[in-house]
Amino acid sequence: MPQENSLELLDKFVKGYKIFIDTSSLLLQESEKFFQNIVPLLEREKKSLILPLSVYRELQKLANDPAYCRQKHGNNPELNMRAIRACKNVVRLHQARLVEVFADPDDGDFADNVFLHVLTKKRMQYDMLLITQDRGLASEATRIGKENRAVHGMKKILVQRIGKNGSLQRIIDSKATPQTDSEEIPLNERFAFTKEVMQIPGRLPVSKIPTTGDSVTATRNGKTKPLRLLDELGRGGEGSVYKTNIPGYVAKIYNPEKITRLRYKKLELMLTKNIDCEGVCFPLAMILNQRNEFVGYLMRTASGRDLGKSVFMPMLLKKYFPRWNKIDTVQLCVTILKKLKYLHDRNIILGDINPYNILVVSPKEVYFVDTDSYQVEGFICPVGMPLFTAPELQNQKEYGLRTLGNENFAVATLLFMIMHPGKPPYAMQDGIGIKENIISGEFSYPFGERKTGKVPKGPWRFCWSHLTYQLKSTFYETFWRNGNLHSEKKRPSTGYWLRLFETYLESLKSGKMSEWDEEALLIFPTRFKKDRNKTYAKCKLCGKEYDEESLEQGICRTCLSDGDKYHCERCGREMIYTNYQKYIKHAKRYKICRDCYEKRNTIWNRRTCKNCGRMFEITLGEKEYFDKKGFALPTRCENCRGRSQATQIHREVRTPVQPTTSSVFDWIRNFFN
Amino acid sequence: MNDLLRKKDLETNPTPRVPICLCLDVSGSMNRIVGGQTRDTGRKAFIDGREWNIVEGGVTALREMIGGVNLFYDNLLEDEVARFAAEVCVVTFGGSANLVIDFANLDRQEGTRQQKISNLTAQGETPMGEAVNMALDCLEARKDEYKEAGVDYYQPWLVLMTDGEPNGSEAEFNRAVSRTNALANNRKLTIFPIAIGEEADIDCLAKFSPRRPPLRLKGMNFKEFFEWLSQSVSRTSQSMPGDTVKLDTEGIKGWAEL
Repeated sequence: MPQENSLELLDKFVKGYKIFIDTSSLLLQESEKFFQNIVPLLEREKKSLILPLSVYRELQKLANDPAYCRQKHGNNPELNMRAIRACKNVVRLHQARLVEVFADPDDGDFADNVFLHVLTKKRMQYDMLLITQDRGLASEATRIGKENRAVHGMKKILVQRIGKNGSLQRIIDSKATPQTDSEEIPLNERFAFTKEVMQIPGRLPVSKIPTTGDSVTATRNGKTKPLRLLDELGRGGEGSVYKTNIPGYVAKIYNPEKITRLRYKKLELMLTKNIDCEGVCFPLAMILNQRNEFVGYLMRTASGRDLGKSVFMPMLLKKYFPRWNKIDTVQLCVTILKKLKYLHDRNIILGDINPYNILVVSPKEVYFVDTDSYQVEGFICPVGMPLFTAPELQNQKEYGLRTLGNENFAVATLLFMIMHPGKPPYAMQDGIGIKENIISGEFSYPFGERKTGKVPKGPWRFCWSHLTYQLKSTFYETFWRNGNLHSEKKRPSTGYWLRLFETYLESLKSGKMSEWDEEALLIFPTRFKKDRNKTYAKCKLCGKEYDEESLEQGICRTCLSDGDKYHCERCGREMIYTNYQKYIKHAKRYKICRDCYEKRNTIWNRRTCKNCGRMFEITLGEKEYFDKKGFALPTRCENCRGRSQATQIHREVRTPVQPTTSSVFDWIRNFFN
Repeated sequence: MNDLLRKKDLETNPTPRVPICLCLDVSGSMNRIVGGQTRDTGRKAFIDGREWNIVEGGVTALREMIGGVNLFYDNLLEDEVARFAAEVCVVTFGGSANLVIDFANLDRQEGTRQQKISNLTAQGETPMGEAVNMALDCLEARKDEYKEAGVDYYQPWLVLMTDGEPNGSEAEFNRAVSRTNALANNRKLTIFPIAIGEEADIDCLAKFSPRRPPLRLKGMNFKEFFEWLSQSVSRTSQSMPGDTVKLDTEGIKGWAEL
C-alpha cells in the first residue's frame, strides 16, 4: 500500500472512528512509526486513541517484571525493553490527551474481553477500529462487526494490524473468519475437511476376542509392542475395557459384531495424527489378538465420575464435591473448553457431546472418554442425544457429517448445564417438550428488555442472574431464536467461550465479585445478583441482603412465603403459617386446613326443633364436635338452646383471607344471631 | 402426601423425570394361592365373579405382586440416577379404585411406602376402567406440576396388571380405553399391559394398548418383571428426554410368555 493512500486511510479513521489499540500492537517496534503518522492527525482533529486500563497494566507488568515478561513471551530481552518504551509512549500521549484510558470494573484484567465487550456494547453508536496483531482477538472482533452489519446495518467494526512501515493493514481476510485456530496447527496433528461420508460395509473376521490374561499386540505406524490384558474395568454396548500390564494404559476390546472394516479404517486414520491432549483418552495404538486380527485400541486410563452422575445432579454434586463453589464450576468449564478447543482446532468434532462421556476428578482434572466415536474427516459419529442436538439436526433420521456450528450448540448446552447444574437450557414453564423447545428456540431466561415469565421455578433464575453480563448475553443470543448468534454458522466457538469463562474465573478469583455480592461464589445463589443502581438492606429474618424495595416491613419475599410448618388438626395434612400471615397480616394460625374447614361447614343434617318447630341445620363440624364430646346430637335449634343455656357450643370460626362463598358469612351471621 | 415438599422437589431437582403409574389388580381373585403349603377347609365361596375353594396357608398372587413392587422400589432407590429421576404412583383396583401412593420423589415416599404396599389386601370386583382413569388423572395432575415448575419429563409409563376381566362400569372402561389410546397414539404414554395367570382377559388388556400388545406373566414371575422394569427405568433415566428408549427385549423373556 503506497504511503499516500495509507495516510488517507488513517485520516479517515481518525475523523470517523473510535480507535482502540491492543497490547500486541503497542509492543511492536513499528508502533513508533505508527505514532509518528497518527499523532499530527489526532492533534488536528482533537481526537484520542482509546486504551483499556488492563492494556496499560499489562504493559507495566511486562516493563517492571522481567520474570513475568519471560513467562509470557519466552526469553526475549528485547521485549522487556519494548514494553518499557511502550509504557513511556502511552504516558506521554496520555498527558498530551491523545490517549484516553478507561477502566471497566466488570471485565477483570483480561484485555481481550474488554475489547470484545466494548465493541459489542457500543456497536449501535460508533464506527470502531481495533488495532491488534492478535489473530484470535481479531477474528472474534471481526465476527462482531459482521453480525453488526447483518443485524443493525449501520455501524462498522474494523480490525487492522500495524504493518512493517507503521501503516495499517488488514489482519484477516474479511470474507473468511475461521472459527478455530486450526491453520496454526501443524499438519501432523490436524485432520482434513471432507464433505463426503465414508461408507465401508462389512465386518472383519476375528477368530478370538481376547479377555483377561490374554496376550495381545499394540501396533502403530509399523511399530509393535506385546501387551497383556488384566482385569476388566467396565463393559458397555460396544465392548469391554481392560487394564493392561503397562500402568496408566487401558485397552478397549470390541464385541465381535463391532469389529467392522469401517471402524478399522477410522482407527487407522486416527492413528496417523499426533493427538496428545491431557485428559483426552484418544486411541494411541491398535490392539491385535494373537492371530494379528484387529480387536480394539489402546488409550490412557481415565478416572472420575461422569458429569451426569455428579455435577448434573445437585444432590450428588453435594455428595461427591462438597467443597465446590462457583470458582470450581467455572474452572471446570475452562478445563473442558480447553480440551474441546484442542480437538476443534485439529478438526475433530466430538459429535456425541453428553454428560456421560466426560469424567470429572476435580475442576482441573477431567477425562474425555469414548473418543473412538469422534468425527474425523469422512468418518462420522453416528450417535447423539437430542438434548445436545442443534435445532437444524433435530428430527433428522441420520446425523451424517456434523459441522462445527452443529457442535457449538452442544458446547453451549453443556456450559449452560454446568452453570445451572443439571438444568437444560430449554427447560421452561409450559414447555412442550425438549425437541420442540429446541426447534422453536424458546429460551425463557431474561436478558435486557426481554422477559418471558417462563423461567423454570427454583434456584435457576438466580444462577442465571449471577453470570457475567457477557456470558448472559452470549447464552441468550445463542439460544433465543432471534438471537444474533442463534444460527448454525454464528454460534460462539470454544475459543470465544474460553475467553469469557477465563475472565469470569479471573474476576471470581480476584475477590472483586464476592466483595460486591457475597453470593457470587455460591453455586446455588438464593437471590438475584445485586444491582449497582439499587440500595440493599438486610432481611430482618434471614439476614441476607436484598433490594430494599422488595422487602415488606423489612422481610424478604422468600421469608414471607416461608413460615412454621405444622399439621391440620383434623386431617393431618401439612400446613404453613407463613411469616406474611404472622408479621404482615397479623392473622391467627388456623387449626385446620381450608379443605377441612369447608368440609366442616357443609350441612350434615336438617331437623325440626322440638321447641319452636323451625327447621335447623347441623353441620359436619358440629356433628364431629358432639360425637367427640360424647353428646347426643341436639334436638332443638340454636335459639332455643341458647335460651336454656344448657350447652355452650364451641365452634371454631376460621376467617378466610378471601371468603370464597357468601354462605360462609351467612353461616357466621346466623351463628351469632 | 406432603404437598409443599412434593412441589419443592420439582424446583430444586433438575433431573428430567420418568413418571410411572402402577395400576394393579387387587380384586378378590388375587387372593388365589399360587404356591406354598395349603390345607383345604372344605368351604367354598363365590368371589369376584367365580367360585373358589377356601384353603389355609400358602402364598397368594397378591403377596407375590407386593414382593415385586417393593423390589421395584428398592432397585430404583439403589440406582443413583433413577432415584432422582423416577416418580412412581400406585393405583389399585379391588372393589373400588384406590390411590395408594401419589407421584413424588422416591425419597419422599420412602417413609410410608413399604407399609402402604405391604398392607394391600385383595377383595371385591375388578373396576379396571375406573382405576386406569384414576391413574391417568394423577398423571395429568403431575404433568401439570412439571409444566408449572418447568421440569422436563420423559414419556410417562403405565403398567396395567390384572388377573381377571374388568367388571366395573362399562362407561368408565370405554372412557379409559379411549384415553389411553389417544395418549399412546400421540406418543404421550407407553403402556405395559400385563396379564397374570391364565384367566386374565388379554383381549380387554389389548384394548388399552394400541402400540404394544399385552404380555402374559410367566407363572408368578413378578420379581423378574419388576427387576426388568426397574432396569428399563434406570436406562431411560440415563438417556435424555426425547431419546427413543430401546427396551431390553431379550430381558422380557425372563418374565413373559412369548
